[in-house]
Amino acid sequence: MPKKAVEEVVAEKPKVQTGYLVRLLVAAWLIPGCGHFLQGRRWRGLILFASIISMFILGVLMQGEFFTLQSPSLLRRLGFLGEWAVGVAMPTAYFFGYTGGNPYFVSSDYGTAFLVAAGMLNTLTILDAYDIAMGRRN
Amino acid sequence: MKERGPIYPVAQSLDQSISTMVISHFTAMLLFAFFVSVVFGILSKDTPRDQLIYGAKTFGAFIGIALLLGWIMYPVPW
Repeated sequence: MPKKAVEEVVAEKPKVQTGYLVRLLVAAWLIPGCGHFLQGRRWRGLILFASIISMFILGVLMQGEFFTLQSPSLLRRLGFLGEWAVGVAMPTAYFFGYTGGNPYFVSSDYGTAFLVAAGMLNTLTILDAYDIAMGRRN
Repeated sequence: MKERGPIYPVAQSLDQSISTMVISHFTAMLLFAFFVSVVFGILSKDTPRDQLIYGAKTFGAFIGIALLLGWIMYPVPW
């Protein structure tokens, strides 16, 4: 592509203010799908919210384990970050008295997988919201 | 495991109603595959039709590969 054409393409990209971008990404982290919702992709945001929160609730119902940063295992500390990536759902679960499940419960391992997966999916959702804000995606 | 009650008394009564769910491995896999496929479909494609097709393909791949691996590992004694 000629240099002039590249400059034109770059010039066409919408300029996004950093403050707006930070607020958008924080909102997208706290409430799954909120980043899409705020950018006018309402149905997309609602479906993402419903899917990710459903996974989180299923994880809680299956007594999934909440990891802590104090764990000696690196994987469990990574799991802590993965679970917190789901946003405000974690403190909400704490608020309602869920203190991290029962690891001896029969479905606990499945539940933990659901909790971590919900956080990971929310991470992808945040990145997608960022791409939309930067004009890289529709 | 930490023994801690609800942070606020408002949540005390709700805490009593938190129930548990026991499901089979297969049901857990179906639910997991469904929700992950929905998110992948939404994030990967732009039009609703493409999202639906991609989500369905991902869901099918999840279930198909899991069943295939299950049968492959069935005769393995460990």
